[in-house]
Amino acid sequence: MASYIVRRIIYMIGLLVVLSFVTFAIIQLPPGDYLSTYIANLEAQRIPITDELIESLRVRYGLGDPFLVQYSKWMRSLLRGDMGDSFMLNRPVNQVIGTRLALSVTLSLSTLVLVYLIAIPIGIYSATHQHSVGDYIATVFGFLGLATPNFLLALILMYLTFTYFGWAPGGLFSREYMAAEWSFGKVVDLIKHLPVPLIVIGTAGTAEIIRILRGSLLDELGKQYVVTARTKGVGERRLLIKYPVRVALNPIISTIGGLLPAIISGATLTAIVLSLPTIGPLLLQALQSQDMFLAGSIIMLLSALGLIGTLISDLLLVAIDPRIRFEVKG
Amino acid sequence: MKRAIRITSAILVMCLLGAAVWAQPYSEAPTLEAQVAAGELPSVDERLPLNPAVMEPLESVGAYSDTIFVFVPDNSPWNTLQEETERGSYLGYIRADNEVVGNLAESFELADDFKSLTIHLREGAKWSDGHPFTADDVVFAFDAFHFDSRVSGSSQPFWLNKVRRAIKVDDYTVRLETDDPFPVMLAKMGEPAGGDWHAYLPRHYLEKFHIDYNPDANEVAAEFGFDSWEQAFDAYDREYQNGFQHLIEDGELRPTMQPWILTEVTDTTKVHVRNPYFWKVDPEGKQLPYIDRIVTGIADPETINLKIIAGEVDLDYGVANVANFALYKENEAAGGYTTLELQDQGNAPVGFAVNQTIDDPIKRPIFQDLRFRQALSLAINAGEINETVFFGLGRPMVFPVVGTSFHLSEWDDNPFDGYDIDRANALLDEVGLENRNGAGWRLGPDGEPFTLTMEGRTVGEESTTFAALELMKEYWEAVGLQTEIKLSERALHIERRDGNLIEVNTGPFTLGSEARQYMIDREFWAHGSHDLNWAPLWGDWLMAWIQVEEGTRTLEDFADGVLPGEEPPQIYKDLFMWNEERSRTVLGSPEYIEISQKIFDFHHDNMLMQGVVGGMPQLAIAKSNLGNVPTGYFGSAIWFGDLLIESEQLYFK
Repeated sequence: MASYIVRRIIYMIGLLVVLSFVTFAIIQLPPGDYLSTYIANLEAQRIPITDELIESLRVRYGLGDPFLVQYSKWMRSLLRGDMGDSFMLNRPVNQVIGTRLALSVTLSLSTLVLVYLIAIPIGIYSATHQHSVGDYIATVFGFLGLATPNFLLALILMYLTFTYFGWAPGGLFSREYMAAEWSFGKVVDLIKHLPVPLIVIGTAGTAEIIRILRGSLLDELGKQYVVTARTKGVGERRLLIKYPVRVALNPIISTIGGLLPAIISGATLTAIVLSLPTIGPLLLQALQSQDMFLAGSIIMLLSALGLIGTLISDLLLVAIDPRIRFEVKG
Repeated sequence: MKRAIRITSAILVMCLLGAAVWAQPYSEAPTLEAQVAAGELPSVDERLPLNPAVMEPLESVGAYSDTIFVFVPDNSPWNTLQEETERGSYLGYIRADNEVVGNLAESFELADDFKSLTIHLREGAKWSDGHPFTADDVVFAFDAFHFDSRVSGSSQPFWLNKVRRAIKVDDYTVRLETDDPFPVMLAKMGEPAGGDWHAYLPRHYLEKFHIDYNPDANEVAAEFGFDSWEQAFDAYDREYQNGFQHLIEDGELRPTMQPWILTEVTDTTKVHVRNPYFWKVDPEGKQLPYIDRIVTGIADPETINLKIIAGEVDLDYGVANVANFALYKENEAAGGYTTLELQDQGNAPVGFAVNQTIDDPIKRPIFQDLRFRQALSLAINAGEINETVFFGLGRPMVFPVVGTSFHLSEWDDNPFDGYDIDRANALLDEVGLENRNGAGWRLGPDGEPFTLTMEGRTVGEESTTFAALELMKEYWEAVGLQTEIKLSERALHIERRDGNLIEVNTGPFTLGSEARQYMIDREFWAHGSHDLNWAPLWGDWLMAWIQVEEGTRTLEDFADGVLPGEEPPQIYKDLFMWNEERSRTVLGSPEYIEISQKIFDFHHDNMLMQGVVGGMPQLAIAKSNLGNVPTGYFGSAIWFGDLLIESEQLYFK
């Protein structure tokens, strides 16, 4: 087991290096560089652009260097734990990401908990009461949740909550608290702003998990081991939770790998529409303005989390499903 | 002797005005009173210049107020109400009648030969850190920044590009000198060129970074984490432009002459607080600005629109657009705000320009044929676009020029403003596109379908733009021209434009104020602005050629020793020179009017840039309890009708 984990970690490091290279290359693929964006900004202000200005900026941002030089500079500072400076925000990337990370994690984790709390019981109920009225209701709402684009739902909910409850739309804070220090009032204000994003981001996830759990549980319920357990007199509830549900959770656990990065930068569209100060919109912005170090660092962070998540889900699967074993080569 | 006379006359004037001046003690905001009482600040009289600028309020004298909340789509500078470099701090102010008067400077004298401009500064004016603002700050901007090729400022003399010397006459008098007549420098005092970063810099703050002023500049640079003094200097002058978070974090808050000081930047908010040394008062002697603090939130434009109707936005000059006109109107009462329609510019939100230098042997002669461009105009049902896309707020207008000092009557009934499919078809037949294929598409002289591609930008465009382009495509297809729309991300669009790849460039056709065009838009009339570039290759050639002519570069500076791009026909060189000529006239003078008329007539007749629907109001949103909201002329700072100049008098009723 331990040697397996070590081996996986070594693979992960190699994979990360490859990923960093590919990421950096892809970010640089579109025509132009951050300077094009910068110059477009100046132009939009009718500020005259001269060749000297462009040259001096190019030197300053190190954009004139060949690709490999830029890449190795970035890698070296990454190893020191310094993710470089964001061109567009003119601040160290560590700091930029840091300020948003806490809010991203808060929002995503609370959504995740909410989704599991709602979706798993409903999924189990739907499967055990297949074709009942309750199952149909869950199915209808499930499909609706899956089919409605989140950003649209966000807009509709913002409009409705504003019209009927008078809640201030967008963002995680009222304008009075936007630039204020953390205080009790600000926390209360944050809590007041959470429901809409939670509902919006949670809907699709909830619907998906209900469908997955219902499907896989239905497969299990008819299987021999369930019948056997029942004939042996195991209580319905205990039987359900101990055997088929445990197996049916497999597909959900194996998605944890994707979940970790999603916690950091999930629901980008929704976050943009709702003006949530999370990582997703920042990544989009960084990519649009070809802010290489910021975009590259976020993608590296997400890749690393994805790999760690995959490892965790693999280990969890072993723990939860006795049928899964490490292959012993011999 | 001369100086003695000036001082005597100044004393005389003071005695005459004495009663009015001294009878009226200056007063300040309660927040500052508290600081003065606590001994943290000198008294208001010590902070103000001897003779502060007096701002006539738009409506009435206001009351000191707490915080104004505004929202912008991103945290770049130059957004409404958060202009970092210039807001309210130009040396001059251009009045609606084109007269340039003092602002931060007290007065100007333009020499009769137009070769020097004397600037009289306000004695006793101070930077936001309390340091005196003097002639040294102006001279420093030129000597250490514009004239010094070692720092990036050397690229900026374009703003006052013919100024060769900045001479300190005394502590409060500076003279800018040129070798050639350059009257435009007077008007430039009332626009960004007359502001911080261009006309003056805080010498006491920046000199430690410059090797000529501090022999240890390299060591200072190293202390601040830079490789060389040039880098450090650039970071602390130019970075001022870029949100300058690091200035705040380094505890190196950059001194400013603006009404508010930026004290906090994150990627979701910005905070500005009042500058206790701001040098303007209202007629009652109350120090401006009235408002203590500007808190700017950064949010998605759609969210900002919701915030507008929810009454959360105190003032908006940038996000509100005509596409949502009905929405704003509907919620005015509930949100407690007013939708302002500012009618002061020609302003066509959608314009197009046919590339005269397109690299296509079939298309180029046709694109260069005036009849083809006339046909494109006649085929467009601008009235319908106005009604369906712009709520009928504008009117059909091919050449959106209003409110200039030259003659407009002939343009008011431009025959090509009309909608006439038959004439459009006839003109297209005449230019050699008379053959059509089975599907009804016109064929080029080579027998292949003649296609047009309109290109625009996806980022930063209003939703109305695409709707209008879609309609234009329909109209052009109705006369047999197969049309495509291609929207690219901004940077890509620029690459394609500069690479001469765009057939029909689309973008807003905004002429700005007359003073503004007079001052900087040389390229605009000569080969198209960045929005509507109609001749990229000629533009490249002309911009290089003028540098060689002016002696700032030689042919050897260019690849292979030849000018880049393509030499334009003589008439376009003339057009370019007319703009040069115009910059040697005084705004509003008979010579100015004559040469402007010539430039505008040329453009009007040749339809190189065409608007579709013009006369569009600029929408602005202001909470009903906000006083002194500018609704018309914005001084010289007509970028997008923002509040660079007038915002210090805003207050809450």
